[in-house]
Amino acid sequence: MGLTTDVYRPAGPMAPMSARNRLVRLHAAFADADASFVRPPGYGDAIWYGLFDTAYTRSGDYLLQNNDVWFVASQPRLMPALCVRADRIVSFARPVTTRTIGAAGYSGVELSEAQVLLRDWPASVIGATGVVRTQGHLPADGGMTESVVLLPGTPGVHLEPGDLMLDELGRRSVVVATELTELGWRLGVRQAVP
Amino acid sequence: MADQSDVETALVGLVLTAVYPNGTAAPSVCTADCRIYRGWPLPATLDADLASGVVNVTILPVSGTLQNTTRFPYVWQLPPGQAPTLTATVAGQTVTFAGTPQLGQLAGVIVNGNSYVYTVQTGDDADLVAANMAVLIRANFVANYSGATVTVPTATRLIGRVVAGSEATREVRRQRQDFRITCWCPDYATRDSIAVAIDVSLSQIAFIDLPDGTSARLIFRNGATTDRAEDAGLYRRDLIYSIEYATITTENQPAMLFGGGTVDAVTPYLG
Repeated sequence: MGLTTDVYRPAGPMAPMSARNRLVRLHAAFADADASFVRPPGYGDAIWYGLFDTAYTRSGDYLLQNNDVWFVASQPRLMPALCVRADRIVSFARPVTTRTIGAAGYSGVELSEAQVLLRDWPASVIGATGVVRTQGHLPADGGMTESVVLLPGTPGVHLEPGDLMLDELGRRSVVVATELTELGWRLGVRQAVP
Repeated sequence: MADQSDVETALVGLVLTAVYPNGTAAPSVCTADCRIYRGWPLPATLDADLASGVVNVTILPVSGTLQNTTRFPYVWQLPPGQAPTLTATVAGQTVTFAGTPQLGQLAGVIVNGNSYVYTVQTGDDADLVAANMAVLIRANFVANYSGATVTVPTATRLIGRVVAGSEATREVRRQRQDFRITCWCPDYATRDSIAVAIDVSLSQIAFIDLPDGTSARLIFRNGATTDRAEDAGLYRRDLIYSIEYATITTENQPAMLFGGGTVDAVTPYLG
């Protein structure tokens, strides 16, 4: 049942969907909550139910079907797998600052000095809400919004408020809230614009 | 010219002296490790520092406090002439250079009424100055050099001289700005000891030296203490100082190496 789908299992913090992380190819179908295949999830809803042989997959795996990507949030026994549609590619970095004892230079967020935590992870970035003025207060600015980011759990990497997120469109955000459960990361991020 | 950033850097140095009076190899006045820097701490880094007992001291300008206090006339100030660090000595037909030349100094030689001038470049020493001078002189005369010595066998009148230019300054503006020195401490006892050390040390200073050679007036303005973040292990104290500093422009004032003139109606003189 379903279409041919490649399964990727992240092996580290960088590029989880690189070719060497491809695990298996299987057939999979994705549907909304009632699995009726009548209509797909709409705006603001990244949750899909995955119908495939979960013996070959586990939470945190990515599924690539044509050009569409999901990740497995959980796969409870005797139920369809809970999947998240990941239509953005994001990277995370942590600003680093002086660790010198005594007189140091300048402390602040310097992107060129930031430590890359995760690179090129497909994720769900939805629900842009809560427009607030930018720090720069530019006359023509459109304000900043907050979004929710869903991401698989990342063993060995613990995201924190203040970490920076960059997506493949070049948009930069700062993490303002983190939640790590068995489903993976649910992050609140706020756009970072001048 | 002094900039706001220069004032901040100078304050970092003063705070460092107050917190580490015996150098950073010795314990600080509060015994905890202290980081002293311009800018704001990053939340995650500060959190980790507070958990491990490290104190952060930040220096920042207070926004909205910049005032124009210009009140002095625009007058060029000429510093006393500086003796060049390179010397030239003439003995017979030989010029000998000595000393440590500094960038921009002018070394000159007159051979039989012809002048040759070499401007010292970065990395030059007396030997290199002599070698370059010999190259210039060889345009008209035979010149031999060895080490820092240049010999012109056909010279009947030989003069060697070195001069150093100076930099004139003019104050074009004066401003007063508040700067906030913030102690981010892991406990109140540490805050008490480091804040009083900084406060007492800076209270004894009326003027601070800036990199452009000017001095800035330092006056204590006010302060604040807050325990609002004590549940996060943060005890904070702000010390705010008003600093008045000048903005200056500079111009290079070249020194005269040789003068030219006419002895009579037909005889030019260079010397």
